[in-house]
Amino acid sequence: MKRNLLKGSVGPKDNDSRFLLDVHRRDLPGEDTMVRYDDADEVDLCIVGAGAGGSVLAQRVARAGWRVVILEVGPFWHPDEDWVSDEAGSHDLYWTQKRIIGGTDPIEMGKNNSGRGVGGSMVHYAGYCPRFHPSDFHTQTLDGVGADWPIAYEDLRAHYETVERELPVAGQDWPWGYPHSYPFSPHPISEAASVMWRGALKLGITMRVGPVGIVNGTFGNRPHCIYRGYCLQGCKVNAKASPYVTHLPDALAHHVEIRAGCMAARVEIDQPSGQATGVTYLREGDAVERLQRAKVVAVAGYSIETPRLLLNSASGRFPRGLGNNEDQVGRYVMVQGASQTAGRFPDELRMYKAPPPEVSSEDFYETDPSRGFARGFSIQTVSPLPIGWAEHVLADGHWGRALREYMRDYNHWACIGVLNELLPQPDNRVTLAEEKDPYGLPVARFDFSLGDNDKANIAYSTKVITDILHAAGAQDVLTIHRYAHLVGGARMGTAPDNSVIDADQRLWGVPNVYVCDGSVCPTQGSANPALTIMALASRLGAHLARNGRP
Amino acid sequence: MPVFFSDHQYEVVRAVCARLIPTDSDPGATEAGVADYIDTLLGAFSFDPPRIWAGGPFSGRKGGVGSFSSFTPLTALDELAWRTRIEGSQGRPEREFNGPVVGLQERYRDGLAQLGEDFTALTGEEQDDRLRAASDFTELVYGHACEGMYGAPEYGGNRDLVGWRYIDFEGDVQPAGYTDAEVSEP
Repeated sequence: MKRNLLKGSVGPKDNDSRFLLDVHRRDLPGEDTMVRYDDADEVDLCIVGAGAGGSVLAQRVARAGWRVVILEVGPFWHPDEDWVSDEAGSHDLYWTQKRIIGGTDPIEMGKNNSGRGVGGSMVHYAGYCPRFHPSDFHTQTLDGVGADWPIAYEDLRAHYETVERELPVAGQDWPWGYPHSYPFSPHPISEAASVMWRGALKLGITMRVGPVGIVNGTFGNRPHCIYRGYCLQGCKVNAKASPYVTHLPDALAHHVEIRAGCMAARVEIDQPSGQATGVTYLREGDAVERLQRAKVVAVAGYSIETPRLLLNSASGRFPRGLGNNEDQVGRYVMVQGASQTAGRFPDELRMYKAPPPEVSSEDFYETDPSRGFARGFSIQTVSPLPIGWAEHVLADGHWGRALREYMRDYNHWACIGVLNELLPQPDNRVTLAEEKDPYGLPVARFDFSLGDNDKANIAYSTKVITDILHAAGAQDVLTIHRYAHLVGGARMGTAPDNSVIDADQRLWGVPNVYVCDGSVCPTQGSANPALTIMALASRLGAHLARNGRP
Repeated sequence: MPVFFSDHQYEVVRAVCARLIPTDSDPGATEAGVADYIDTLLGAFSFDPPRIWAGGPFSGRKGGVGSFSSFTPLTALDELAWRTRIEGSQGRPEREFNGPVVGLQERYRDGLAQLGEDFTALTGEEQDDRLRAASDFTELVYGHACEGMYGAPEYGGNRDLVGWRYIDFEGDVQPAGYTDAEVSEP
């Protein structure tokens, strides 16, 4: 007999973050009371980066008794003061230090592909939490493109389910990929989203509400979403999931120290044994190099900073960079195509009155040979605030009176976007540039070029979302091309000549260094990467904890 | 009184913004005080704390105690980054770790000079021609004009919320937020 539990009534086990939060303040509980280690203390694990990957890993092994230090270059946030509901006031949430970009399609770096500070980019992500499909793990075998992962969907499934309970994810039952349901019911949707849905229905495209990592109801001490529309400026309500509210409170209560304002310079290797001994880092405003000794090191700096740190960690055994003897570090970095189309409708829609992503479709996710390209894309609604909307209008070449008319109609416009699965290419890679950052460390250079399959995918998908707008009755349409997200750069594989890490996310040739972020993904699907990064970190955490403290 | 621009520069910036976001039956950049927003940004370090980050948690416009108008002090790295961005590197070694940086202040001085002393005396069409000829500078002002028009008023623009009123946008709605009914039925 099937037991029917009320949705949301079952919380995650072994993670008390939601109860540790203060209902009256948004500061991270534990910032003042967390354990503090000395550099000379050899901790069990030193993690570089307090984002989606590093935070979940820390929480998992801390629960198994490990002593952990996380080095994070950015600050602890104090959301009540730091995250004003102010569209232009959120630029310090992004990684805005210099990077060099190149290739035939250089990628703008910043707000939708980086994070800085405790909590990482999930602090300002839109909250969208889809899973990868089972096919994403075998694209080479199934479609002859991309790469096969050394693990399968089944290896991650339990971790997807656990993380979805921890965030928690709200959404309708999901018919695509591996069909599943969500712990929380879907949020109500705005008029803008329902218009898009009607357009999609006319074309026979299936859409669903969610999945978003945004509380619908209450969850421990976290309140219901108030739909203020500023998810991308940092959630001041604590309704939207990020490690700040989902994993770090519990981690700090279990012998984890986050050392904020600390830039990792290199992973130190004991040359005779080839084992890592710790991480050398610099404190903000201090030129003295410090070494945090550790038995195990995990790099979790995301697809640009993780390869950069490995390349900056060259030493006698690894003259071309740590783990780079086969010239694999920094290769196969991927972004997703993220074109957006806006449509003008006769009725007021007020797209900002809701979480930015609301309804979505994965009908086009899998390969369909009749479309003329491999793999596919997903469709998601988006909702720019007024400055973002003015920039969307400018990107189409309007100012003066035309801009006025577009802006006056702000409440009549609704936006829909795609995420294209762009394929991994060896020359889309991160290398070190000549230029240095304020710490004197070489900055990253990122070269990116689209392939023919990528271009065909983007062109096809843009037509589909434009068709949805027309079917929904749009009177005018404005389309812009852009990119979002990052994965790859330190991918997992079956051998050192095709990857940087093994199936357990351990660096080839270095027994005690792991990579734990989006850079480990050999392919990216058409899904936003945050949930998968957390699920991979959860899997690595379980693996490390199973073997006991080092 | 502008804090950074000369009186004449201020008038030119006002005129530029009026072309980018003109006044019609509704208030435009002039009424929103967009030039004041830009002047405050360029002169942010004439204030203590510098007018870079508005405070929180609530604007007071939808309940709660308004605290956007008390600005947040900057950390040392914030100050370095924002001074470099606004004032340029000026040959100071601590600001030149990536080579010289041309600051916003200098870009405005040069851009306004490029538009010409007589800019305010020109017809609208002639002004547009000059703006097109100075496209890099126009793009810079455009970004700032959008922020000044549609950003929070505590930064000096969007005076009396005219930027939000004419597009019927409520701005910050904390702590009240929207109810399910308001989301589903605009």
